[in-house]
Amino acid sequence: MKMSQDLIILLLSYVLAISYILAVGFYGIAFFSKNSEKTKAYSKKSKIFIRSVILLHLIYFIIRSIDYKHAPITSIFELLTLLAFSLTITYIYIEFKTRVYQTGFFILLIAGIFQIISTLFIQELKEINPVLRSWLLGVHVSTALIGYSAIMISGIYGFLYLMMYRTIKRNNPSNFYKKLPSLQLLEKLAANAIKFGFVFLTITILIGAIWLPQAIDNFSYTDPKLIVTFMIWVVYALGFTSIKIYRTQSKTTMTLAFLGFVFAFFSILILNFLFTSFHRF
Amino acid sequence: MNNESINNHPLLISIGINHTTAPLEIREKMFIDKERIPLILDKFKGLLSECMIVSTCNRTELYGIGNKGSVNLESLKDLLIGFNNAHSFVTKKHFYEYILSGACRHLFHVTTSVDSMVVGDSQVMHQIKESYQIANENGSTGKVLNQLVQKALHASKRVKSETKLFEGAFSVSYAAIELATKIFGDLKDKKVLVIGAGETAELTIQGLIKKNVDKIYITNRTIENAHKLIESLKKYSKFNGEVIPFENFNEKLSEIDIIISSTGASNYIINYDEFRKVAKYKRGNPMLIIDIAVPRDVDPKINKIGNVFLKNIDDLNSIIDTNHEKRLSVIPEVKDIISQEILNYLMWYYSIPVLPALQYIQQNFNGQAAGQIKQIRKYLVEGVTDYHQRVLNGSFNVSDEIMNHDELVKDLFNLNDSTIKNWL
Repeated sequence: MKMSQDLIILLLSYVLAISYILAVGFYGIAFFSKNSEKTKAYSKKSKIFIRSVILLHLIYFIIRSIDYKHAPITSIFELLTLLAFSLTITYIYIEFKTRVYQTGFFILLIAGIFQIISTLFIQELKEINPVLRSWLLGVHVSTALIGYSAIMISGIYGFLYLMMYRTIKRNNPSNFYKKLPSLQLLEKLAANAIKFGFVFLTITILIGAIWLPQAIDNFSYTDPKLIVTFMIWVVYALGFTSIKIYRTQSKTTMTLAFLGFVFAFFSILILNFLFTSFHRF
Repeated sequence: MNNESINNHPLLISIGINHTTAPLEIREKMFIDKERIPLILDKFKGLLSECMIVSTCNRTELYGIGNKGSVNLESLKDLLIGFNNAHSFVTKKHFYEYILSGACRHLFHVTTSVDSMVVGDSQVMHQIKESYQIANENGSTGKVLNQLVQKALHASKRVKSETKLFEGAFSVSYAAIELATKIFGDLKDKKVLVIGAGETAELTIQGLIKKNVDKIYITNRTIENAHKLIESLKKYSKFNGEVIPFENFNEKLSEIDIIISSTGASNYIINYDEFRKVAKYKRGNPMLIIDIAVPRDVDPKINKIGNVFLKNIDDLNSIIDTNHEKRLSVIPEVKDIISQEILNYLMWYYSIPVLPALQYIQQNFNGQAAGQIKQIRKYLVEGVTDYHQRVLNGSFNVSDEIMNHDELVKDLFNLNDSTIKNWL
C-alpha cells in the first residue's frame, strides 16, 4: 500500500516536471514567435495550461503531505518544489492583475528549473529532525520562501527592464521591444518585489537569528547560508534605500535587482549542494 | 564624370544624398528648406535645361536634364554642397548618381516609397508633388521632367489604389505614441510639450489626446501659430492645452514627460548642459524626447543621460516598423506596376527623336501613314522593351547604359530621318 502511494507521488512529481517544461515551451513560443497569430494562440493556450499546472502542483503537495505526515519543508528539494509553486502562483497573480502575458517564459523557466531539480533528487528523509517540526520553523521557512520568490521575481523583472531599456536606447525592434510591457511597468513590478522581498527577508533573518541559536546545538554564525542570506539582504537593503531615499536612476536599481537575483539563485543551489551544515534544509 | 549623349537627346540624370548613402548628421547639413529651393534652382539653370530638387528629412536629391545632352555630375555635386556650405561635413562619396533609365527608375521608387526608409510612407508622394510645383513655378521644368514626374505620380496613385502598400504604414505621430506607450505604459498622467506648430505636431497631438494625456503645452517661435493650433484642437473634448511663449519653454521642461520638437531652427534649441540640470531635477523619472526636425532641434548628446530617451527621425524609423512584413509581401506587385509605368515613360522618352516624323505623319495623313506609324511603334516596342528589361534586371552600369542609350537614340534618329525622307 505504502509502495503504491510512493509510486503515485513519484509519478506525480515527474508529470509536474514535464508540465513545467511544456508550460515554459508554450510561453516561449508565445514570446519568441514572430508570427502574431501564433503568439496570440499560444498566449491563450499558456494561460489555461499554467492554471492546470498549479492545480496539479497543489494536488501533489496535498497527497505528499498526507502521505508523509509533514509539510513539504524538510529538505532542500521539498523547498525547491515549494519555491517553484510560490513563483508560479505569484506569476499567475501578476498576469491576472496586469494583463501582461509575455513575461511568463522567464519566470516559469526559473520555476521549471527548481521543479526539475526537485523531481530528480527528492527523497523522503528517514528521520526528521525535531527542529523541523517546530512551528517557528514553519514561519521562518514561509517568510524565507516568500522573500526568495520576491527576490527571484524582482531579478527577472529587473533583467527584462534592462533588456527593454537597451532595446529602446539602441533602436532595436527585437522581440523584447515588441512583446514586453512598458519600461515603467517592469520597473514597478521589480521595485514592488524588491520591497516585498526585503521585508520578508528581514523577518526571516530576525527569526533565524533569535530562534536558531536556541533550537540547534551546533549553531554557528559563520554558517555559509547565513552569511550569504545576510549578503543578499544587504544588496536588497541598498536597492530598497536607493528606491525610497535616493531615487537613483531606475537602471541602477534594476541592475542591483538582477545581480541580487543571480547571487540568490546560485547561493540556493550551490550552498545546498556543496556545503553540509546544520542549515542544510 | 562628364556624361554626354549623342544627338542632343535629353540626358536624364539624378544625384543626391539619402538615407541609404548618408546618416542623419550628414543629411541634415544638406537639407534645403522650401523657401531656399528656388535660389538653388536658379543656380542650376545654366548647367541643366530642366531641374527639380527634392529635399526631405530622408533625402536631398536633384533630378535634371543635361544641357544639350551633356552634363558634369561632379560639378553639380559641388554646387549642391557649396550651396549648403557643407564642404567640411559632406563629400562626394556621400552622393549616389544615376543617369537615364536609372534616374527614371529611382524617381519611381522614391515616389512609390519603395526607396523610403520605411516602405509604405505615403508622405513622400506629397513631397514629390510639392517639389515639382516649386520647380515648375520657378520655370525650371520642361517636357521631360513634366512627363517623368506625372508618370511617377501616376505609378504611385496606382500603387495606392491597387495594392495594400500604404495600409497601416508608419507615421511620425504613430511612432511617437507607440514609443511613449512602450516607455510609460499609460499616458493619462503625462505632460507633453510640443515645440513647433506644423502638420506633424498637430497629428501627434491628436494621437496623444486619444491617449488621454494630462496636459499638452504648445510653443512656437511665431506664437500666433501656436494659438491657431490650440484653437483647432478645441473640438476634442478631452484636450487640455496651453500655449507657452517660446522664450520660456525651458522653464517648463522639468514638469514634462514627453517632448516633441519639429521646428525649422538651424541650431539646437535644447542643449546638453541646460538639459542635464533638468534631467537631474527629474530624479530618475524617464523622459522621452522626439526630435523630428531636420536639421535637429535637440543636442544628440542628451541621449547619453540615463533615463532620457531621445529619438530622431532615423531612430523612429528603425524601431517602429509597423506591418513591415505585410508591406514587404506586396513589393512584387508594386514593382510590376512600376515596371509597366517605367516602360510607358521610356516609350515616350525614346519617341522624342521620332516625334517630328510622327507629327509629320499626323499632319499629312493618308493611306501610307498607318504603315509608317506601325514601323515606328514596332521599333520602339522592340528596342525600348529590350532596353527596359535590362534596366530592370540591373544589368547596366553607367557606361553600358550610355552605350545602349546612344545606339537606341541613333537608330531612332535614323528612323526619323528615313521616315521623313520616304514621305518626301
